[in-house]
Amino acid sequence: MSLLFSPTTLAIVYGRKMVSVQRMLDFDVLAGRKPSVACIVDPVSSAPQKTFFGAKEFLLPVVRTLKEARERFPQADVLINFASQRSAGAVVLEGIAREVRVIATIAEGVPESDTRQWIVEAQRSGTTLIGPATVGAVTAGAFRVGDTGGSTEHLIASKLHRAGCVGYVGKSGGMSNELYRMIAEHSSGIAEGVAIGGDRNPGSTLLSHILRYQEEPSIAMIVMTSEIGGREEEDIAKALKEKRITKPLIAWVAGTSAEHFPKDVQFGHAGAWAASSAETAQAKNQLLKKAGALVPQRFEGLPEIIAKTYEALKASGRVQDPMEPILPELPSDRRSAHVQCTISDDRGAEATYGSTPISQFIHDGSLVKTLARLWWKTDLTQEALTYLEMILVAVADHGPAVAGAHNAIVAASADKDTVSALCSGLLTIGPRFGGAVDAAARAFFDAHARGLSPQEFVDAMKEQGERIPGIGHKIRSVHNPDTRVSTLLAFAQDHFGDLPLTTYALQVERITTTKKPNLILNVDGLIGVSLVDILLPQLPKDVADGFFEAGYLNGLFALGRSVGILGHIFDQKRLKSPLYRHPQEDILYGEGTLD
Amino acid sequence: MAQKPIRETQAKALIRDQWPQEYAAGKPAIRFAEIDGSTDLLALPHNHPWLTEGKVVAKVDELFGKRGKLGYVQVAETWEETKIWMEGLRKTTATVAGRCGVLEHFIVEPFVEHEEELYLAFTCERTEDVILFSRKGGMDVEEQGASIVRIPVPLGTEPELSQLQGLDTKLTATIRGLFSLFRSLDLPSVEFNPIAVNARGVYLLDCVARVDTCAAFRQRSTWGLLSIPEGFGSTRTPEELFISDLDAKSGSSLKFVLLHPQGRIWTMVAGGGASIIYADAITAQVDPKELANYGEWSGNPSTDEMEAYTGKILSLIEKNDREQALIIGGGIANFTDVARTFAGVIAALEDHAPKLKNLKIFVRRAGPNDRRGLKALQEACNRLRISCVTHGAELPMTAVVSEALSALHLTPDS
Repeated sequence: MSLLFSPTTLAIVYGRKMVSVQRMLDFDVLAGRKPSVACIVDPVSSAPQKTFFGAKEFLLPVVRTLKEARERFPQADVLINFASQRSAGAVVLEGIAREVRVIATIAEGVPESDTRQWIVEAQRSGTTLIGPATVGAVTAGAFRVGDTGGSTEHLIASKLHRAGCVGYVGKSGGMSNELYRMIAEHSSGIAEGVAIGGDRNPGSTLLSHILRYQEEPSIAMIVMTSEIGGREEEDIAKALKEKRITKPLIAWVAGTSAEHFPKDVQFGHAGAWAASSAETAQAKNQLLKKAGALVPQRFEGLPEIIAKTYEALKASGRVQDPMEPILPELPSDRRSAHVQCTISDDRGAEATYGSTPISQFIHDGSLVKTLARLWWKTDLTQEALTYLEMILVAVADHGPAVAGAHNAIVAASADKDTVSALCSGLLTIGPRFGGAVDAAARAFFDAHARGLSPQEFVDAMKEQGERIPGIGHKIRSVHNPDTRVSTLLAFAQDHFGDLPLTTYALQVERITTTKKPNLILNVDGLIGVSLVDILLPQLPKDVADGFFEAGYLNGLFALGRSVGILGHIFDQKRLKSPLYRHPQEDILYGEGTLD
Repeated sequence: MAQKPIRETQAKALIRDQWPQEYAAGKPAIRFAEIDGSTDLLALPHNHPWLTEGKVVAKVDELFGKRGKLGYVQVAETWEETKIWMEGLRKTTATVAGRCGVLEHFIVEPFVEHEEELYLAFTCERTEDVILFSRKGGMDVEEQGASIVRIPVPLGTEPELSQLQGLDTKLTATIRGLFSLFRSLDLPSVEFNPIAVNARGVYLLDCVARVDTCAAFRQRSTWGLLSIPEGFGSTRTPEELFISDLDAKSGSSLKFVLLHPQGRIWTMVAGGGASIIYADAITAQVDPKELANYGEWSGNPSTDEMEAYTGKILSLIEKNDREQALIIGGGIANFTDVARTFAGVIAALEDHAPKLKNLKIFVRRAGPNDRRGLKALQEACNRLRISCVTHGAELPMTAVVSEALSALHLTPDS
């Protein structure tokens, strides 16, 4: 393939660079192609990224690892690496190992020895590297790497939305954009442009791209800009002399001012210093000119040489001016929606839960079925639905003395309205009351996943001085078991086959109850571990990913217990209970010291 | 940030302190006294008793080569003799290869009796490291000719030294040890010319090394502790230090080198590539002494950073009584926001306006939000009564240079 990218090229963008990704998608609209970004890799979060394609807002997939990106989007073979100077290297090496075809690295300040290692690995695998310390590359009308080409207005002025006949390669990322504009104003524009970056040993050489352009039939002439420092121009001159480059090559090496400076000046690019007289801009310009490149007297002479060369090619019939396509309009003011909803829709003739009309749910008459759709965007097996309903029943109430019911009773007695009283009861749900289900599920899940034996888990928690969430009950014990637990457990064991985490938790219980008979697996603990076994495998991936963070299991408790709390509130209302005042003799006043 | 040379004393201290255990047998004998601007020469023998125990060699350590030919190496019978020699040179100004600087740093080492002098250097090519070795040490590499053995070492492999037949094992271990330091310390080039060997050991009579400053983040405990010097003749001005500090703290790039404080053309050019082309355009058209500075900013610096950067340059313009031009140049930015960065330029201009009587500003810049940025800058200058012309991408990039030169009545040379 002699052009790097085509209108079907797909990329993985490493790093959540929203603006750059949006620029790529805007380019795609102008070029009349489908979105060129398959997904973003963000090691920190897989929350999808809101983006616009034209006027339409959509969610771009985000994954946590390059491995997952490659597995889910195998056709995306270009990696745009926005990782920082320190981590860019690991991303490149992984990209090479995962057989990405082209890797463009934007980071500045990558140590030379790192880039050189990439080069060796990439040669072995045939990967094309662009950068580091660059803005990237662009194939006109086909694909744009990141910010290459700048804002939409300049992109159009530089004719990057449609193919021209010039191949461009240069070192500087910033100058590439200037050159695209210059080339577009003095010829039919570029077919492809690459900025290899200003480092001393960039990932790909000027010559490698020039030789590609030589092979590519749609390219009639080549423009190259380089800088003081390095000796690659010697290879280019050699290729010219050996007729490996026969298309017109217009070249300019910047940095002629260096010899006039009274002291050593490190230009803005790391590679831009002359280690010997052969590396000066003057020497390299002369060398290229002697080998047959078209080299102006000064940078300012470039437009004229480009125009002359293009006109000559046109006169000889080798190229012709391209047709200018009609450009689609990009909306100037796009506003991202503030609220997003993926579980239901009330806009159509009939409201839906997911994509199912609500009449269907009404007809089925199952609360847990509706719950599964609205909470987890899925349907569950009948056994799982039954088990969920059993849980809701099991947690519905636990008498008037527990925190939630008590608070609600106090509020109802104060003649607060029903909803306020319900809220006051629900607000007690937290780590000490009913809100330990998720924590218990996660603690057992993590220990099991880390391969800790039940004994090791108990020992580790003891060492940290922490209680095991989901273990222990104030009143119940092995001698006086909690029937909620035994009933749920019996159903789960009868209907769901293997319950690895539940089994693990029961082994833990066996150890803890030998120490103290009330250190049993309590109802929170059992609900937590059994739902990891039963519910988690049935959830869609995007829902399952945040299973422990979302608080689904505490939500189940809150839902079930609301039934009981409301019961207590209605009870108090009927009884017309007077305002509750706590008896003074039940309060220990002061510091509690003996006088 | 890029490659930078370090002093001979710094290179030798690194070799001494970081020497790899596995090549202990080849560790060269390293003993030297370091003299900088504040060293008390009288007290030196107290810390380095060997100074008074025999012949010593003293050299200027100021990051330039060919010191022998320039008379900056002295072999003395006694420390007293060396001291007098150094006192004669200390803090004097010297011009070497067109660069003028102050001689402040010296290295003094015990004189080593030896017969053979060898040449050894390590350099980086694109996909391999290279060992250069010759038995004709002491001469320039260009003069070595056929005597030089070039051993490529592909990355990820260890050097194959069998080409160097007849080398004693001690020296082989030295070469391997030095080579391993060259790699592990991110030194893009190291040269030892010469290395001397005698019955007692291996001696690095001279050492020139460069560090890759991009690797500073992982060399914190090695050369990251050193203060990496500027090149000879590059004593940095307070303004350069200020901007270098600004640059170090920023994720963007802010570069500034003062060339001729009495020059009439100042530049603030966006982009590493464009800044070179502007400097070329100016030096090609007028006496290079009129170019007051080299300056570059890129990577979308914040408004505050641009204000600090511009303000520092304006403070230098204020000190210059001649009629001057400031060229705020650049290509078409890929992602740097023109309006946001120019807001910083405007803030600095507002601050300095009363003192900028002799300044004309010439702007050529394009990129995201360029129209808004250019308009704001033009309006600010009008308000502040500073002569200013602004251009976007419609003007060829360096055409603004000619505008500035003709406004100053500087006729182009050519």
